[in-house]
Amino acid sequence: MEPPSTSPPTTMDQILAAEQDKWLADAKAAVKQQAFYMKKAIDEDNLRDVFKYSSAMLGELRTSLLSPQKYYELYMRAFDELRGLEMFFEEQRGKGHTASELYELVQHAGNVLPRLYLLVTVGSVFIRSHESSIKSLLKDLVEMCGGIQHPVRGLFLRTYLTQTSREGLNLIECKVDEESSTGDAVEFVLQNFTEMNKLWVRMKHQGPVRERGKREKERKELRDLVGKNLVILSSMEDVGVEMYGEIVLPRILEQVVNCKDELAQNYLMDCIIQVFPDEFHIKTMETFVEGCGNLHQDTNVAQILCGLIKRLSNFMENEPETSSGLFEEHQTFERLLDPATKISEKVGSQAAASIYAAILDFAVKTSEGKALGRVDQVLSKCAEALKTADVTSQASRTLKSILTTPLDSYAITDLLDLKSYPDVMQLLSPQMQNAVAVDIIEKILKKGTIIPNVKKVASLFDFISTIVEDIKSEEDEDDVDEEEIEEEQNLVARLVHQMKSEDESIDESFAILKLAKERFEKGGPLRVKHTLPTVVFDVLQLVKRDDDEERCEKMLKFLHSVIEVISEVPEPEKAFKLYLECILVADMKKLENSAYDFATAAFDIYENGIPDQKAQVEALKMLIGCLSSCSNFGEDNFDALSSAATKWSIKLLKKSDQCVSVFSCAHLFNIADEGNSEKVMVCLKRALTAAKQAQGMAKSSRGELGPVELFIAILNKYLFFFDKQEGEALIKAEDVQNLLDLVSNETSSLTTSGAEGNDRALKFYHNTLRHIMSQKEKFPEKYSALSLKS
Amino acid sequence: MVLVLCLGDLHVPYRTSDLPQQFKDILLPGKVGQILCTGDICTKEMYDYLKTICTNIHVVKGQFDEDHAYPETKVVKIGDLKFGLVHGHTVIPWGDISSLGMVQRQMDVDVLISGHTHEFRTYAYEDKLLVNPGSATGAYSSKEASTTPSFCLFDVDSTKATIYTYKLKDGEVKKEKMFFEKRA
Repeated sequence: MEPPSTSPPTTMDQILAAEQDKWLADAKAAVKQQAFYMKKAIDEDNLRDVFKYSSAMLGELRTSLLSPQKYYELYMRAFDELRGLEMFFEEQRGKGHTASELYELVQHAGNVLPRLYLLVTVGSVFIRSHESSIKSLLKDLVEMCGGIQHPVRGLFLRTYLTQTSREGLNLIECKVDEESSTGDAVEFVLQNFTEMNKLWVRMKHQGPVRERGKREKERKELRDLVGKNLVILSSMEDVGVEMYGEIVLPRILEQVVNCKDELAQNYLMDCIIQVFPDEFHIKTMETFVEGCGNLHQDTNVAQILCGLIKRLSNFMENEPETSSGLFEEHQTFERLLDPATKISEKVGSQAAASIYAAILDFAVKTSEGKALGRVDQVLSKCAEALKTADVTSQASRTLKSILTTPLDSYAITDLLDLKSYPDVMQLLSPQMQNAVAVDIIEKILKKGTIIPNVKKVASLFDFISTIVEDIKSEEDEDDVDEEEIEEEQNLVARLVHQMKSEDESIDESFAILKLAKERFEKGGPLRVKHTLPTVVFDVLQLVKRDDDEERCEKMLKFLHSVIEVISEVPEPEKAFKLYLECILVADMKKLENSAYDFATAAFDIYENGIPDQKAQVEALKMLIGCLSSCSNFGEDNFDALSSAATKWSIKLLKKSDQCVSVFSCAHLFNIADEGNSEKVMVCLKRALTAAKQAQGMAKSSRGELGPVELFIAILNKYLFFFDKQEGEALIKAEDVQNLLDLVSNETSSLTTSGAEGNDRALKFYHNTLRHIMSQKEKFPEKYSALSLKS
Repeated sequence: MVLVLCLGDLHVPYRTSDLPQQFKDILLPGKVGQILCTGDICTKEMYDYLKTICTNIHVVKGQFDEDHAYPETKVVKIGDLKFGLVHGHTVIPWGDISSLGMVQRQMDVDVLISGHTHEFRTYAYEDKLLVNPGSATGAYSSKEASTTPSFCLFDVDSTKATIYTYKLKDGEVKKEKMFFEKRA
């Protein structure tokens, strides 16, 4: 039996962490102890012991056991002690030792690492002493540090050098030393930077491959040690844009490119962008972007470029005047776009898309007036670069933002000049293209923007072609969502009302609508039935206000071709209704031939295209309503039309439908017109016959007029014409009275049954009686012959 | 008291693109208790929009409505008043008072609301009321030279109603008021 474990099981990581803590504690204790002796020696002014114990203390930094983070803690501990040591050396100089003597002395220390720390410490005293040229001392130190090639130890030693050399660099800047120039200071920092970066990159390859991930994480945490050098360079006031462009930037880039390390490149390129001033970037754009092109393939070049562009865009926002001058002078946009295009071809679709999104944003923000041309350039390059790429869904989202962002910044009518907009749209999935198209349409509708000419309308159709045209292949036909199409097409249809000439030019507006028809036809039957009716109504509006008869006829002729398309969908009822609208307008414009042509077309549909009886009854009602509203047909033509309507009414299947339809036909004839008044009578009598036939047949089904109601309705029609006629030209009071008596008889048999239809008929009857009474009061003479039985 | 919105002939999208913003600003949700619509709404989107104003909505079928669920006519009792609703394209001649009068008698209503002509009209017919709220969108009509967007509100109090009419002229909403009382 195994003994029960007393402590909870520990993972390998926990064991390692505990070990690290222990090692660090041990090393720190040792540093503390040696520092104690060192300080005692300092108090005793014993130079030999000071060397001895400080060397021993610094010897602790030779450890290889600690992780970079733990090593950092240890370094900080030692660093604190070194400041006391430096003060001691400074004092020694006052006591008769020269700095160069001390510099010689420390070189006797046994181990290389303690020796170099001591050398750097004394070095800073030496620099301050003016005993030698600062330039040569810095050069000496930075080269001596090359003695440590262990990545972590070397990196921290050089960090120490960075920290202690600041004073020397300041002295050079203050021109204390005639022999040393800003160039020398820059050279020193660049050299130290280069060496530090090499060490930092080499860290990656220390230790087993399986711990690479962990090591990269540790390495990332040390990045600011390397970046600090760039901060120092950027803070040197004498480094102007010229020196930056000729020396500093090329040298930094040389190291960044050569190190071929993704972590270092991502970090350092961003560091350059962030620490140096905007003006430097603008003036050295080409060098930087060229450098970007040479980075490692795993480096996120897009992010780097976007970072640069973002920085420039911010500059624009913060200092619009200074920046725009600089941008134009240095052709920032052009210098950005061309190399960025080259880079975009080498990276993935998402990276490329984000580069173009950033440049577009920059173009929009920075180039007033020229912006649209530039936006088009960006879109053009973008479409070109991604034409054959595999566009990921993330890239699609970025591309979508490229397309929708300008919608908020520019007038839509201006955007329509962007030739490459549809090309970028093509890169998206059909669903996304639709979403962008819907965005565009909704923007236009919301703002009430007018699209004023054929050119712009054509361009708009190109922009939204995905939603207008039927691009789906036949295989997809099964998953067509008709409701969705209807909703989209209703939106498109609303758009048509926004397409018109702004100065009311009928020719321009008509040309626009002709184009609209042409484009809509590409949408196939599912779409045209929703979109084309709008074209019909908008053309009719033009006809209504046009005084040019010839042009009106041309436009009406065009409508035939539009409605034919709708008819062939097939949507015969819709086409029929549209023809009726055309008849009304043509009649209003006194274009009788056109009106008659439309009527012929409508009749043709009625006879051959209306599918069922119910639809026929409806259609006939509409036709009769339409014809009764026309006032400009010649006698012969109208005769033909009204006869046809009457004939069809009589042919309807149900007697009740016949009755209602035929008494409606009575309204087609003017009772005051002698030639036609007879026809009114014929219709009314025919209706009465139909009502009687209906009565003789089976009971009416629910919802339809019962025979009694039909009689009452006919009575009402008699009253209508009785009232309208002059004297008793046509309808005698006697006729009305006969009908009234008939109705009275019919209704008296209804009173007791109480069914819904009976109740309705009775109310209708009573209301009719009240109407007659009211008429008798108003026109006592005319109605005197009518007597109402109570 | 019930506030009743009475409108119709929207004709979106075929004849016009939307209801005027000025009207939308007035027709806020929760203000009216019922909607009487004379039809020719034409799309589901517009019907859904009307539903946002008030869910209690009565619609009759217009000439260009393709929703076959709408009835041809409808009678709605509000307070002590009977409202009749008909689009009007089947009332021949269109907009004719006498013909509408016959429909009023047939439907046995106190107020007959019809549309189709796109022309706002209220007419005291014998002791009844005929109302055409016009086109709320000011949609084009093949008969009229021009159209003014309009609608009306009925404030119904048992047998009485105050009618507020709204018309959009030169970008401004003109409001008028009239009364109707049903005779005993």
